[in-house]
Amino acid sequence: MKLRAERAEFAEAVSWATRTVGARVTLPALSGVLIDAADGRMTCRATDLEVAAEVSIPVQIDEPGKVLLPGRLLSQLVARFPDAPVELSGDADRVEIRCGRATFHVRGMPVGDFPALPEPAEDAAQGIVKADAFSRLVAQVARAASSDEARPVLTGVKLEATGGRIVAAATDSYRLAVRELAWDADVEGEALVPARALQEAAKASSEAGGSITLVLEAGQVSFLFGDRRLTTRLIEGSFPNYSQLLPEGFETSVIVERAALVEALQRVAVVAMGQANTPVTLSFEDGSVDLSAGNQEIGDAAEALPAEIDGDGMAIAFNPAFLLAGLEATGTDRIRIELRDALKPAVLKPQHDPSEDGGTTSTDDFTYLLMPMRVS
Amino acid sequence: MRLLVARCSATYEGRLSSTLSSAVRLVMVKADGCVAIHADVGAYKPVNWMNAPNTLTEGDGEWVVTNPKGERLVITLEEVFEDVAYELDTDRGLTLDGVEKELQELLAEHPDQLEDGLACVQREFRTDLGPVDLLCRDPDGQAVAVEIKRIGEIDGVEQLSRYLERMERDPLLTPVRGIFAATTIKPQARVLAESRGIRCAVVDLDRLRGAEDTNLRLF
Repeated sequence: MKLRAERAEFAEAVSWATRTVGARVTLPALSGVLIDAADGRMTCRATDLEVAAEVSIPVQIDEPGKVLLPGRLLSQLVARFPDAPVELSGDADRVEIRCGRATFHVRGMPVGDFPALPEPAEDAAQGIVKADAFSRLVAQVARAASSDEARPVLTGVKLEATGGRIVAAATDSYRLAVRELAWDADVEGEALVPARALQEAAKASSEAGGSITLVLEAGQVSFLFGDRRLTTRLIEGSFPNYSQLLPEGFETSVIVERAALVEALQRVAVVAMGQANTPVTLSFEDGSVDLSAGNQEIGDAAEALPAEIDGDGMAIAFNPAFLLAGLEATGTDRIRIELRDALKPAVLKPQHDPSEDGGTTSTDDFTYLLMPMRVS
Repeated sequence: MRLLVARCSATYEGRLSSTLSSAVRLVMVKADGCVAIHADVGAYKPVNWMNAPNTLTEGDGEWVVTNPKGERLVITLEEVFEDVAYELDTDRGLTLDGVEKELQELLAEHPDQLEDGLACVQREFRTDLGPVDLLCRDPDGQAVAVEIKRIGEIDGVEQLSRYLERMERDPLLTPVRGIFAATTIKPQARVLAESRGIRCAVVDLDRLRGAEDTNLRLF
């Protein structure tokens, strides 16, 4: 193999592909990035067997070929390359990399050990979403997914595409986040995507900008960003039927400044955080929400802030970390909290005020359902 | 069990020589003849002791403990503050909590905690090589053998592999797949299990027990 590439493009391709290369791998080949030079393009591939990354850039090829190089080493090297074209040459077990006056010889791994990567089928259903809207959707929803591997289905984000919309939902059984997004395709399909893979795709999409293409297939989903692609396997199993969890109606609704509530919650929660199962209690009464938390070992804290309350007064306790995550995900200046009683789930929604411009409509269909904590 | 709290000094001669200078200590004489001198620190190790069998000779202000190996412990009692004796129950042995048994009972009741839709057919299902903890069926009707451990280590995986190999020969069961369930699973055991196609399930005992979780759940 012999090829010549621009440093910036080469470095970006390598660092993009090596995102899936983990520190601890079960197969040596998984620590590698496969570089395939053919037809005027260099393709870099890497995988951790869950997520596969692929990127292709135009390069000058004198001799086509394939090499499997250690990913971490290669990304460390390219990060320090001088600003000069990069030349790769040699065969599979000894590759010479030259950049400016620097020369490296890197031992390659057997190309045959690298697993065949899944590729989306040509005729698979696909749709286009805006990159910023997609990464925002993931940021809002994925954090509600569980990290407990004991129930794999809860570590995923459910994507459902129907009638020009895509709905993303995640739950760890304590809370549920649901978000809808318009998408430019008349595609019907569903996928249970590992939350970690989806977060990786969101990161890639916010870097790439523009729009991204989602390809939904049986067993896998692919995210296409121009010449780059991430393909992830899906989680098997059935995701809880969350639509039946969303309550109809409420007894009390509260509208409150989100930033003020976040700040007050963070202050009050200092005495609760770090102590497992210490709730923060919110009392809604007479135009005010009173936050309080405490435990016998540390002390207690209280803070009040104004709120528009419609309905009977009520006190309800939450896990402060889960409440905070919901407030942060909701996004608008003011938020709406819908309550039924102290042991039934509360609903957090964005509150759109007429004064806000139309640009925020992309957040209007976010729902964060949060189970309260029982206080003795 | 005889307990003596006394200001005492002691000398030991045997495999080596040692002396304890005068101080207030606890001397225990156990029913089997063991003699131990305890100071006011440490959980279990006496400052000096003599295992049974031995002979205790109580002299005037001096106890001499000798054994057939020629070891000799002399305790000089300067002032005795307490000298009591109690009949203790014969030792029932240390019971390491029956976590595995409890896990087996709980998982037999809630097999869905191992995998959605799993149903328990039998506990202690007998194979030629011994009983496998749970025999289950998944929603597709496939037989699933479950081996339950408190700590999941390689031995447990080997054990389950042997059961699976035997169960595969039973035409009513085959094909059988395995689930290795434990409260924690060692990385090596996980690698071995997964390389043999055995699924690992980490179970939370407290959650199984239904210990009151103040975090309410949606489902």
